[in-house]
Parts: sequence; structure tokens; C-alpha cells
Amino acid sequence: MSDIILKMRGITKRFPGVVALDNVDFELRRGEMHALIGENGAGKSTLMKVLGGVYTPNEGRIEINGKEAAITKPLDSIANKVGVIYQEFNLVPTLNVAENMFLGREKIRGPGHLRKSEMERQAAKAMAQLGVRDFDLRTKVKHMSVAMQQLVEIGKAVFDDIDILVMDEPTAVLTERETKGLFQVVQKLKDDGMSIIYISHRLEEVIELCDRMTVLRDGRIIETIDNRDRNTEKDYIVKKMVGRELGNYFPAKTAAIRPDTALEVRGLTRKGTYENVSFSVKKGEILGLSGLVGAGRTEIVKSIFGADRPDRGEILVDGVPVSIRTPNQAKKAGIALVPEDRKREGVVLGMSLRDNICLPNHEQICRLGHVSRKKRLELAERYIKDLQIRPGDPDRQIKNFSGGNQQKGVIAKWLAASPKVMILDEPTRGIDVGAKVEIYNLINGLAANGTAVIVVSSELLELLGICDRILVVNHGRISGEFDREHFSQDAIMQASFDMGGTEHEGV
Amino acid sequence: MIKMKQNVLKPLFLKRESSMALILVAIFLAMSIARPDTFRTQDNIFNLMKQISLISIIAVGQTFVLATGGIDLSVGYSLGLAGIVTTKFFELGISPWAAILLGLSTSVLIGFLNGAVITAFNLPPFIVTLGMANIARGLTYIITKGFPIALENEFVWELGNGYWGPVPIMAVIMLVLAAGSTYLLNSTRFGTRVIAIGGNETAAMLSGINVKGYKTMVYTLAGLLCGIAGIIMVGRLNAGNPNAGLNFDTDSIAAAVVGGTAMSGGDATMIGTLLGSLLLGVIKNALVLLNVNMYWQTVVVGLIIIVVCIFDSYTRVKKK
Repeated sequence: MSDIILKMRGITKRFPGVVALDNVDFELRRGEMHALIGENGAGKSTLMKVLGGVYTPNEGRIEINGKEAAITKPLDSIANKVGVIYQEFNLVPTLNVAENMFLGREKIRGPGHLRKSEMERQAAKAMAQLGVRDFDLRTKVKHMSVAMQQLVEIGKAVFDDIDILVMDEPTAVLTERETKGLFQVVQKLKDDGMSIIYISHRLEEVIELCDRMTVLRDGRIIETIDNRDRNTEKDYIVKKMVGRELGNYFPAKTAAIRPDTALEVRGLTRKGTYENVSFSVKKGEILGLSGLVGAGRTEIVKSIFGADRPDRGEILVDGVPVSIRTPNQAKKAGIALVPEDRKREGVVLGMSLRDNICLPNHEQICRLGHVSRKKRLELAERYIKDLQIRPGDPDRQIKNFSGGNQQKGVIAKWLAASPKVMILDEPTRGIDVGAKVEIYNLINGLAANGTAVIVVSSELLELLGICDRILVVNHGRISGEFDREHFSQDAIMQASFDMGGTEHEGV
Repeated sequence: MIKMKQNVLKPLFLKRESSMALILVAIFLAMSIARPDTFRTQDNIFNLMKQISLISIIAVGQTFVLATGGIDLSVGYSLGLAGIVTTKFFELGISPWAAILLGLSTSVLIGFLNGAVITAFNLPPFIVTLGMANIARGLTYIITKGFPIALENEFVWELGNGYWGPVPIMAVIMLVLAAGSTYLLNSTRFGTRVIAIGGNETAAMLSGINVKGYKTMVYTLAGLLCGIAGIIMVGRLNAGNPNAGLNFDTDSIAAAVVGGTAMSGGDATMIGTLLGSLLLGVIKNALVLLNVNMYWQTVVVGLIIIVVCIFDSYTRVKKK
């Protein structure tokens, strides 16, 4: 048998407007644990969804044990002895462990009587092989801890007698102690001869566990690093992940930061999510919030916008304490939020561009509840022109615009509300480079007009390119602050990855 | 080795079925004291069983549908049409068994069409079954022109009015169907898959389950139960009544939801549905014995449905 168990050759996957994977070659050796690392959107999960049969690639082929494997639907991967545990769980929350493991291949007697004790016996055996004992197989999965659910997922995958196991961010939601437990399980699987592909953002973890690591960036393989000695430098990996030069597509900084503070946050705390967060933004300043996904950035800005209630803390606008319990109060206080999930939280997909822009601005276009058609159209057309939204048709449903133009629509609706503080959460996620540049210019223009801007982004380069100051959020705390003259990718990455979980217990 | 402690034993009162049973016992005790002469008599108990039999049969079918994350608004009119088709064929003088079979087939067909249209065109069950309810109702009035069709048949009459020993036959039928359905939901492959589809349709599909097939089967089963209830109803009324089954759609949903079945799917309890149906029936019965005005009875039932659901949502939050 060959040393290489899996070969992926020339995998290309295009989505409308984006090349998610560009001619990717990937190899997995028999019995090794191989990490896939890269920034968000680098293509790691997409590559694994191709292997799992969720996506069919536009080009490329997969070889398993030297034979071409046709994987076009999820069940094909199991037939090829590949088990994939996706980031989003694939368990039925209202069924118990045994029922979940046997879903779709239940043991029955006669026409359909479940052999429950037989299935429970086998499920217990499968879990025991992972070293997990002493739990009730009849507990519904929804009543279990996330760590336990994760183990059930592994048990379900391993139960299929697979040779290759893919785990996508298995530790993202686990506490330190639970993570340790998971490592034992994974190590045991590896000792038993399983070949494992492991996706994680936690570099310490990857260095500790994996034999090799492959870095992906912008849908391409950058390098495969040998980590046999478990001593690869974290800085080296980070450099490979971020890699590219700061392009000149960031606008020249023109804004002059004014002396007065537009927004101040004091001691904002939400138990288990973020802790004692304090910072301020001046008029005309662009402040970046950096950090890993799940570090608490989105929750912090949602709280400032009143969409998520903090346990304690104070918010001041123009030096005056304000009570913000709902987004409506935030809007009145002059705060706007362009949310992270554009399609679900940013736009009303079935409404026209015009009506989306007008949504938070009905005061401007209504009198006594009557909408002035003229004012409504004027308002929409002004911002369509200012932001160069294309096509410039106010009546077109927003779902028929490209991602970049949808995002401009979301920004437009808040620009029209003339906020003092504009918060943008992942403003360029999933949009193409051209539109990104336009959004950077917009942000710059806003600051030049004296608006305080907060940008949350997982793309560090973007923050380095447009911000005056960057705060790093790590496990719900501010773990670093950097002025523009002290910007350093390595230092910021370090602040995002450090103290990995020592104080992190709650889920 | 890893040990994962699980919080398995939840306090008993948090289990929906137990709390329902407790409420029922409390009402029984209270009514035995308040109306000692009328409430706990054999007559009243069997009368109560007759009152809840038909709605329980329908609620059982509704529970399967709700378990998949669907809803069936056509049950009431499907029941009505089954009865009308049966009596019409009796009137036309064909063999009684053929007439009953045709009545049953009508409801089965309605259920099958519900499922087939929902899955084939990927439409919301609410809309499809609402449309089907209107079609069934319209056909019922076309056949009857709005007037009941009288029926003289010993067998059908027995179904609705006869006794097996001291127990009403319709209650026996209901208990048999309920037991069968409880078994089907809790102990068979069919039941697990139905719950899986409602709990996480993607996971079910990724596990190789024929989601569309199972959904269609569930609506068809609900249809079959409507047919059975429809024919018993004809026996009870001694006629095919075009208005039979009115409100059965909402009442069956209420029984299931009060019993602890989630409208979002994936979480269903057949025992709960039966207790829910019993609770609503007992409350109506008690209100009658307490001489509460009929219209106020409806208001009280409405309040109960809402209060039970508030209680439920509160305990669910607590459990987290």
C-alpha cells in the first residue's frame, strides 16, 4: 500500500464572483495528522466540503489509496471511508446518542421494530473505543455539553469504519479542559492508524498535535510545513498565513482625528462573552477591532448597538451617558451598525434597494405615517449615486445585487441616518476586491467628515490598511492596543493567539 | 479515560407528561369535591371518553405531522368529507364495506396529496394543507348541498354509539389507535426517522434518509386517521353532516402542543398528546358541570392553551 492515502489534485471551486479554491493540490499520508491552516475565507472548509461531497468542484480529482474516488454527494465520502465532522453540528438534537449514531441505518427486527438495546450496546462500544464511558446513551443530544456532542460526532464518524477523519475547528467552542479531553481521543484514533485532517485557528494546538501543516491563503496552497519535531515557530506560520504585501488598494489616510471623543465604553461586561471592555473613539478616527472569530468582537459591538444586552457597563456618546437597550435607542443616540451577517441581519432580501435604504429613515420620508413617494425616491437616489451602487435601479430587489452592492446598500441606509458613530462588522466579507476598495474609500470618507468609525474584521491586513488604531480582543478581553505608528502584524497576531484559554472556562 | 457527567435525572415535575398528569389528578380531585354527584359517575366518565375520542384520534395524526416540523390544517374537513363520501355511497346502495372503504380512501388520498404536493414542490405545509382544507370543504358542500345525509346501518351506528362491555366502542378504537401510534413513534424505525427529519432535516438527509418519502407517509397516515374518525362520526350522528369536524384542525394542534409536542418539529410525545386532549376535554366537561356559560368555556380553553405554553417556555429556559 502506498504511503499516500489521499491525493487531491488541481481542485478548483468557483462561487459566483469568487474563486474559493484555485488549483489546490493536497496530500495526506497514511496515519499522519495533518493540519489545514489559514485565515478566515482562505478556503480550508471549502476544500473539506469538496472532500465530503457537499460541494462538487469545478475542476480537479480526488484519489484515495491510489484509486480515483468519485465523491459527488455526502454518502459517497463514507463509501470511500472518509468521515467529515463539519463545523456546524450534524446531530439531531432531539434524538439520543444511540439514535443519532444509527440514523439512517437503524437496527430493526421484523418490519421496523427498533432493536434499541442492541443499538445502545454498539453505540456504547463505539464510544468506549474513544475512551468515553459512564454516560447515558438515552440522553437527548440537546441536553449534553458541546464537548460531549463533539465526541458523539466523532463516535458517529468513526463508527463507519473510516480511514480518513476530517475535523473542522473541533475545539472552537470547547473549554481548556474539554479540549484536553478531545486531544486524548484524537491521539488515540491516530495511534489506531487513522489518518486525520485537522482544521484549527489555534496554532499552539496545531503545533502540539500535527505532523505536518498546510497553509492556505486566498484559495491557494502556500506551503506544507514539516512539524515532526513539534517545534515550528508560530511567527513563521503567521507570516505564511498573512503573507502578502500590503497592497496600495488602501486609501491614503486623509482624515484628521478631531480632539473630542465621540463614543466611550466603560467596563462593558457580559458574563461568559466579554469582560470589562473599555475604550473610546474620537471624531474622525477609524478604530479597528481585531481578534479571532468567537473572541467576542461581534458581541461587543452588538451590545453597543443595543442588539445584545450587557450585564453591566456604561456607554457615553459625546461625553454624555446614554441608556441603550434597543437598536432604536442606539439609532437615536447616533450609533449605526452594519452587521456581520449581511443576508440575515443587514438587508431585507425581498425588498427593493430603495426600501432597504429607507428602512431606518422613515422619519425623514413620512409625515403622520404617510410615506412621501417623492422624498423616498430622492433619499434612495441620493445614496445610490453617492455610493455608486450598481445597477442604480432603486426598484430592483436587493437580493438581485452582488454582495458588494448589497453591502453598499446596507451602508447607505445608515449613512442616510447621519450617525455620529458608524460600526461596521466584517464589512468586506465575501465581496470581491473591487468592491472592497470602494468600501475602504467610503469608510475613509466618513472619517474625513468627522464620523467616528469602528471596524471589526478578521482580515488583519484590512485593519492595518485603513485604521488609525487597532484593539485586539482575545477571549472577551482587550488584549492589546496599537497605534498606527506601532502597527505590527506579528504583535497583533500574538495578542490574538496568546493566553489561549488559561482564563477561558465558560462556553 | 474520559468521564463525561451528564445531567440525566431532571426533576420529575419538569417532565411535561408528569406535570400534565398532576394537573389532571388535581382537576379530578377538585371536581370530585365540587360536584360529587355528577363528575365521578360512570356515565360522566364514559361520556367524557366519547367526547375526546375523535379529537384524540385526529391529534395523534397531527402529532406525527408536527414531529416532522409540518402542520396539517386539512384534518377537520378531511374527516368531514370521508363521512360524506361514505354516507353518499350508502345512499347509492353499494355494499356497506365498499362504501366505508371508499370513505377511508378519500381521506387517505387527501393526506397523500398533502404530502406529495408539499415535498414535490417544496411548499410550506401551512399553505398546502390550508388549500386542501378548502377543497375538501367545498367538495363536501357540493355533494350534500349543505344538508345532512341520513344513514341507517347497524355496524356504523355501533361504532359511534355501541358499548364493548361497559366501555364505549369509539373509546376502545381510540385507545387501540393511540397505543399503536405510541409504539410507532417511540419504538420503530419510522418514528425515529420522523423525529430526525423534524429535528435536523439536513442531518437526516445526509444520513441517507428519504426525507420526502417519510414526509409523504406521515401526511398519508394523518389522512387515514381522519378517515377512521370520519366514519365513527357518521355512526355517532347517524348521518353524514357537512359541518362535521369543524375546528378539529386547531383543536388537534392545541392538544398536541399542550401535551408538549413542539411546533418547530423534532420533539413529539404521543402520551403527551393524549394527556393534552384529555386535559382539554376534562376542562370543558368540568366547566359544563359547573354551569359555566358555553361561550365562556371557549375563552377558558383559550387561556389554558396559552398559560400551558408560557409555563412550558419558562421551564425550558430554566432547564438551559
